[in-house]
Amino acid sequence: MKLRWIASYGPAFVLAVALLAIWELYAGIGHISPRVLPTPIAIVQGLINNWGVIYDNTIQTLLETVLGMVAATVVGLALAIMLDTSNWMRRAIYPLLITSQTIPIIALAPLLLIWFGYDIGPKVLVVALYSFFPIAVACADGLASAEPELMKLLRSMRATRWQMLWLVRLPGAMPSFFSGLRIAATYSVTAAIFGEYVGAAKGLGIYLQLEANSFATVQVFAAILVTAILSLLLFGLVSLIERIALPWYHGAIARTM
Amino acid sequence: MDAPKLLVQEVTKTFHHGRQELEALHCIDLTVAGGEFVSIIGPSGCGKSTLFNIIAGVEEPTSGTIAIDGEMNTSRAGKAGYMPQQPLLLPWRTVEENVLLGLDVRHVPRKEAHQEAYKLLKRFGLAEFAESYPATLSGGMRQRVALLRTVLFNRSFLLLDEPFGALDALTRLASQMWLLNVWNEFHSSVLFITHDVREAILLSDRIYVLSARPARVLRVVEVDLPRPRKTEHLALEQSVRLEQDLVALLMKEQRL
Amino acid sequence: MNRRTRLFLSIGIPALLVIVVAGAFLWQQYAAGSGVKQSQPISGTLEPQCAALTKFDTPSTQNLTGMSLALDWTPNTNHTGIYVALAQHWYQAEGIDLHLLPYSASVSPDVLVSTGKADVGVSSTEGIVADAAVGQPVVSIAAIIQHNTSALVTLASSGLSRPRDLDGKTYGAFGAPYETAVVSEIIKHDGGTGQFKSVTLDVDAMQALESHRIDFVWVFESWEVIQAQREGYKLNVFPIINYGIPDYYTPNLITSPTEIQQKPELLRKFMLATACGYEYARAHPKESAQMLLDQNANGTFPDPGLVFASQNFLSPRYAEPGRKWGLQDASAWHGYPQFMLNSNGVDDASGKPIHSLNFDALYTNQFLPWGS
Repeated sequence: MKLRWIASYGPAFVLAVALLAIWELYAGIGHISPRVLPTPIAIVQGLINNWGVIYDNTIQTLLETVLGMVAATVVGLALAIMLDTSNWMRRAIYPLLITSQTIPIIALAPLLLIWFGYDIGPKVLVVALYSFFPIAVACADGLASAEPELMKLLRSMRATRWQMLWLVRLPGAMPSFFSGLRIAATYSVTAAIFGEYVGAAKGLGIYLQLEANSFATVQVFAAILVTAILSLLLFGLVSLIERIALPWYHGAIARTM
Repeated sequence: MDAPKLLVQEVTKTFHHGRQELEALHCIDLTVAGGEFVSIIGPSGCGKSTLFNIIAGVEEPTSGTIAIDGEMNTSRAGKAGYMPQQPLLLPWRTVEENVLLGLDVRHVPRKEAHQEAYKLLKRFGLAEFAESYPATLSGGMRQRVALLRTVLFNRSFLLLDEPFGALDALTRLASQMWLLNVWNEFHSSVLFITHDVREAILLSDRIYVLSARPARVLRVVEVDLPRPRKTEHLALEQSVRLEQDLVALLMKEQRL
Repeated sequence: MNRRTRLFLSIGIPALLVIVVAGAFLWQQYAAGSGVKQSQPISGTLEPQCAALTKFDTPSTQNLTGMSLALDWTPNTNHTGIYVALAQHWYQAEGIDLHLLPYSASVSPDVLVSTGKADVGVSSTEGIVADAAVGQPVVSIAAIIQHNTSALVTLASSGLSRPRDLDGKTYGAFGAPYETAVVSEIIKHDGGTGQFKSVTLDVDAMQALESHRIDFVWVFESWEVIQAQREGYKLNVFPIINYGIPDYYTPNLITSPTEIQQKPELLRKFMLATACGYEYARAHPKESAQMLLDQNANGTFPDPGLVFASQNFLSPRYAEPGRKWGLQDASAWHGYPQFMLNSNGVDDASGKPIHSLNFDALYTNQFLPWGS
């Protein structure tokens, strides 16, 4: 078991270490000014030195992310079910869904600020806005791919629409739902930072701006490092939950490999 | 005299694709008595599954009547245990949970449903798989689980659509014997679709032979073999003759 | 693991995460406070109008009128006077509870002020002219810095030692429509043809310069140039007003015409505290820079040295010696704005360039404590 774990994560680890070593050497030798690209070691040191401030901002961003993701999951699921109701619904709602993703935040920002102010609300909204889409689409696709024969079987048992949804379609759509959730989770932290650019007193996005405006590149990279770690952790968490919720799926996948 | 389990009278089904009309079934008459095992054979694509869909209440006939237990005006869905060609086991449910699917639809409390399902699995030798997931089972096993699901939902009337078609010869034989065991236990009325003449002869009391599309009843045959059936019965002279007759009939239809 | 456990964990783990993060957040709110440090009360002579403010003893939060100010950028030495007044509780002395609105990269103070979301804000002459052109006017009520302190800069190592050397070179723009006109004029003033390549930057101007992909940029002497000098970069600095560009004010304190109509007394009080803040900063760079640092949370200024150096540069420049802070002259409001309009760089709401504007409506000195 241990060996298998090493085998699956080993290569990624080795590659990451190799890239970091190359980066450290290249930046360290002096080809690049530390104001443009600091060395990985300098970044980690910067993270440790400024941990107090960075932690404060991280918690802010993390809360926005997590709340936004919860909202996105609920909305995404609900929309997927709505889309599944009928062809007409699908044709009416889908284009609107897609359009919602193409609104650049620059256009949205003044409205958000004027309607909702500087609280955590608009940031959660931004996270939810950009995260609900992959969840909704993936789950809707999963629902749509339900076997027609299975539906026939259930109809022969006198199952109602809702029973079919609850007993068969929704559980069957869970693998798709989780893959959408994974994508959303990966982008959610960045979305929170974009939300903070709308206007915020605290958060990794604001911290990034402050440090950048004072030319503190090391701290900028430290903040980026934290963002990357958060995204990875969220991704990992979703994968963990999927493993718990869908043991049958992973068993099957493992067998096909 | 008791009403037959199933009475199909002059059922016709026509599909409309835009301007085109496709007659799938033409004036089908069919009965299944209580406790009888009836098979339907016919060339592929002749509409056997359509007939099943109509009987199971998933589709409506264009004309004609269907009566189950003598009632013809009520909805037919739920009155038969329908088993489609694929076992269609839900991968996220254990074997036992799959078997009780029909009871879930009927809102039977879980505790009771689990008990019933386990009893059934135990009776028919599948108890050790109760907690396994379908992905770990072989094809033959899955068909049996699907059959138990069907039986648990409705043991009095079973509609089985080519359940053993995808299995290899030996597994098929074992499954056929197992099916007869189940049938004996519950005295179900069974309507069974197959394209395998020998299977029909082995299992059934009567056989309906359908023509190519639009499907009509070409012939109804009594299978006069002793019960309980054994594979040796297929070697009897009357079985061989019957088989040859039916195969010849089907071959004619197939060419058309 | 049976079904019930799986369901419980699938919902429970995310719920736990939300609770833990929310808990950490609330704890931090409770424990940390505002991050603002107390400042020393000032000593020394002050303008007569400001002396009354320092007599104010205990700040109380009763009967204070709320007021919001929108910053144009993350806090910097352009804003020092405001932070001095905050540190010394001078706004409270005037009955004002001043909120500094968090900086927004996507929404300018001009929008916030003209929609009434902010009472006052920080903007620039360029911004104010553009606002008036599209029909969302704001009014400048003070010039934060008396003379323009921006400049075109090149790396000393590039050998581009005067503006006319910039002919044919690459300019790193920030994306304003009138930039080309301004840069061209500077080059022509020095005898060049005014032709150059322009690339709009999304990165820090100085970083672009140091990467050698850009030859020259337009920056504030008080911030970017100071920082470069601290890092040891030698720069050639061409202050724009030395090369034919009419002098103009940037940044400015702005408010909306509605605010002027409805709350003139409030504006007067606000300006008293603010002007006194800047007057103090003029004479005391070190102390006022310290107040700027103390009034902001940790992490706002990763390099305090930069703040002190910048303040030393800027303090004497807030106003001309012998003149009071904040006063605006008509010449600054006619020269550069007309230059902007002449370059076809200012559009009205439908996108057409405008060629005339009532400049006098764009500014007023009436709220300054020392009149016009």
